[in-house]
This record gives sequence, C-alpha cells and structure tokens, in this order.
Amino acid sequence: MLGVTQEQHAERCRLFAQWQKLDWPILHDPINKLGVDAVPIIVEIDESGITKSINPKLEPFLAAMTETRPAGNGESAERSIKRPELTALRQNAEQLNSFDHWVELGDAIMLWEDQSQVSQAINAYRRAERLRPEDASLHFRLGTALRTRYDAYQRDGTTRAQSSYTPFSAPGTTSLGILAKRDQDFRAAVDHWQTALDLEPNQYIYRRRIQQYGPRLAKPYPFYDWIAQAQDEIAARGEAPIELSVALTGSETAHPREKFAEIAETQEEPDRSGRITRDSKGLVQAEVVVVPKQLKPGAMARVHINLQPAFDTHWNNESGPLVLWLDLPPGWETEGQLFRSNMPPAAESEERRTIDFELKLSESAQSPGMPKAYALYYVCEESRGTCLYLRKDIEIPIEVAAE
Amino acid sequence: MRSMNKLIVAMTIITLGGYAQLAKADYPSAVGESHPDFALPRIDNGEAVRLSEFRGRRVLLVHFASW
Repeated sequence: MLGVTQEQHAERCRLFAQWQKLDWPILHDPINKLGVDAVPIIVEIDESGITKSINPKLEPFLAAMTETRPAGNGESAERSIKRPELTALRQNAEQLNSFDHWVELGDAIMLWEDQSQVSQAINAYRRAERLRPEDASLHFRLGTALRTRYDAYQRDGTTRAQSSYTPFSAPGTTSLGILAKRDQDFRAAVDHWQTALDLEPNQYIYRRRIQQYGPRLAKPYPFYDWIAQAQDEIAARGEAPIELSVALTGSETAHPREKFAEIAETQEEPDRSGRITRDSKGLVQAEVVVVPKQLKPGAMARVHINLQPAFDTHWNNESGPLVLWLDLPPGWETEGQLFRSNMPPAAESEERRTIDFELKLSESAQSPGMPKAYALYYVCEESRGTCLYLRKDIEIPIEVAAE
Repeated sequence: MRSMNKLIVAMTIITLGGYAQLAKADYPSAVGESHPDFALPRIDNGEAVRLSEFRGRRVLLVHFASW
C-alpha cells in the first residue's frame, strides 16, 4: 500500500495516519503534480509496473498484502533516491525559458526544499505564468505556493521580524511595505485557485482547496472536524499527537449548514461614537480575504480578516483581546457582529490573528452597500515602549454579481 | 472519514461510481498500460520515494485526503 495525499498541509494527514494507525508510506503532493482530478482513487499496479485495475475491490487485495507485506514498511534496504538538482534546473529554466522548465524548477523547490525557499518557487511559477497565463495547473500551483508562504510567515514569529526587517531597503520600500506584501499572499492564493477552477471546473482537487476556506453552504462535508477527536483519542492512548504547525481556521471545521443561527445575545457596538484613535501609523496590518469574492443575491461568502502587528510592534495581551465589530448595511445577513480573537497566555505576543465569519447576501438585495468592520486592539511599539489602544477601519470587498 | 473502515467504505463506494466520473482520462494510466513513474516526499520525514522502487511487488496506490 502506498498513499498519496493532495492536501495543502502534510502534518494534518500525518495526524490522521497516527490516529488511524496507518503504517504504510504516505507521500505528499500539495501542488497536485500528478494531475489527479479527484480523490479517493485507488490504482492497482502489478509487479511489472502495469496498471492492473482502477478502484478495485479492496478486500482480496488487502488480504494478499497482509500475507506478503515485506519488512520495513515496504521500503527496500538500499534506497538512494536522488532529489532534483536545483542548480541544473535553474540553469535550464533561465537558458531555455520554457514553461515546462520553469514549472519543473518551481515544483522541485515546493516538494523538496525547506519552506523558507518558497519565494523562489513563486518566482519560478511567475516566470511560467508569463509564458502561459491560462494554464489551470500552474494557477493551482501558484495558489498553493502563496498559501505556503502565508502559513510559513504565520508560523514563525522570527520570520515575521526577519521578513519585515530590511536594512538595505530599495527606494520607496519600507519594512511595512514588505510586511503588507506578505499579507496579501492568502488573497492572491485564493485568486489563483479560483482561476484554476474557472479554467477547469470539473477539477475536484481545485474545488476542494477553495471550499476549504469558503462558506459552509459550499461544502459537501466538513474538512478537519475530526482533528479534535483524533487528538483526544491519540492522547488517551498515551501518545503525543502530531503537532499542527498551522492553526485551523473556522471555515475548516465548520459543518455544512444553509441557515444562520439566531444571534444569541444582544451585541453592543464597542466604539459607536467612533472616538477611539485610528491606527494611522499602520502598527497592525489587516488583510481581508473573501471566498468567493463574487456573490449573487441569496449566496454566502466566508470572510477572513487577518491582523498582524508590524515589525517593532506586539500585542499587549494583559490589557485585553482584539475585538472586531461588523457593520452591515441593509441587504446582508450574518450570525453575529461582535467577534473576539483568541490570545496566547503570554503577556505579549506578535502572532497573526484571524477572525473569520460568514455573510449572506439577501435574495431581495438590490445594490447593497459594502460591509465594513473595525478592529480594536492593544499594541505596544517596542522602540518607544509606548502601548496604545487603537482602531483600524476595514473594508470588506465583495463583488455583487447580477442575478 | 473518521476511521480506516470509513476510508475503505469510501474507497469501495468510488468503485461503484462515486467520484469516478470526475477522474481524468490521462491519470491514472489506463488498465494494461505502464503506470507513470514519479517521486514524491513522505509526509513523515520528507524522504523521497519513487514508485518504481516497488517493481517486483504488487502496489495499491491510494490517492486520498484526510478531509
């Protein structure tokens, strides 16, 4: 048995394998290099490497496999699989400047190099995009690479500081500018995945990657709602569950549902008079990602609002949580207007905070105004030692399509 | 899919036509043809595994996702 998973995050599949005690090797193909159009697909391959059947009945095969399973998880003792030679791939790409060579270089970096190198993969894919802008598989790869960079940036606080610190800035480039560029990666990833799906609407892998971050209504079943149960059951066995390096978003655990729940309590707007000082220096950067970004009347979207302290700034957790107020004009529905982000126990931290929620455009909406939000937060500037309570006004860009 | 049993059930379902209609013509290769070789990293340690390493043994190649 040999598994291949097309998921974005390998460690989630590792957790699944640990939970289910899957002892066969599982390979990671986040960019869908193999070109699989759907999962699950099972291929039976004979001893000569010939495809014997597709989606066979499993029981006879599993019985036979148990009897003949080789030692060591199916691996041979003397393995020497060479990884791609990046220098040669890069030289080929630059000299030949062909679509295939740039994609091959990007793939090699995505699959075999540390995630700190992902910007090089993005650059290679961008070069390929110039040569063939309408290739669905390339847009899917670009989306995956951009989301990888976004996650790597979130995962490591030092990455944030290093990425934004630039002692030799180009003219007009500020550290905040670089920070903002990184924070556009998620939105750009969704745009590329959507382009890929528009080009190949029957591609199930592309569709699922968008659904992962989209509204519940668009999902046939939840994505990662099993994770909490898996972690509990693994811990109960006395094992340490595989750690997840990227936090789950609400959209990844939400169950499919067509209607909003009633708002349970009266929610009071925290800055109704608008007197809280605006974050005019951009101490916190906001990124808004709407999936899908275009809605018809009656449709729903998932909104992700990501807030990240800039270089030289941190959250002041002792003073209170980040809150977000959603201001909806007529024609929009939601489950709540007031949201609070989770905080780590430390007195100060600098992680990205994400609040995600769903909006529905009413069936009868005609020329609705755009939803807006504002965030209120406690931050400290490290160089001056000044701690502030600030407000950031946030636009939520949703395109309303004609019925 | 919360258990291996469910995984197997789901995989069995597709043999009856579940997602099969979505499968692309050129992947996987048609029955009777040589399956394309590939190398990908393992999810647990990043080590490269090549399909052709398994020549001489029957292989059940399972494309799946934990979602």
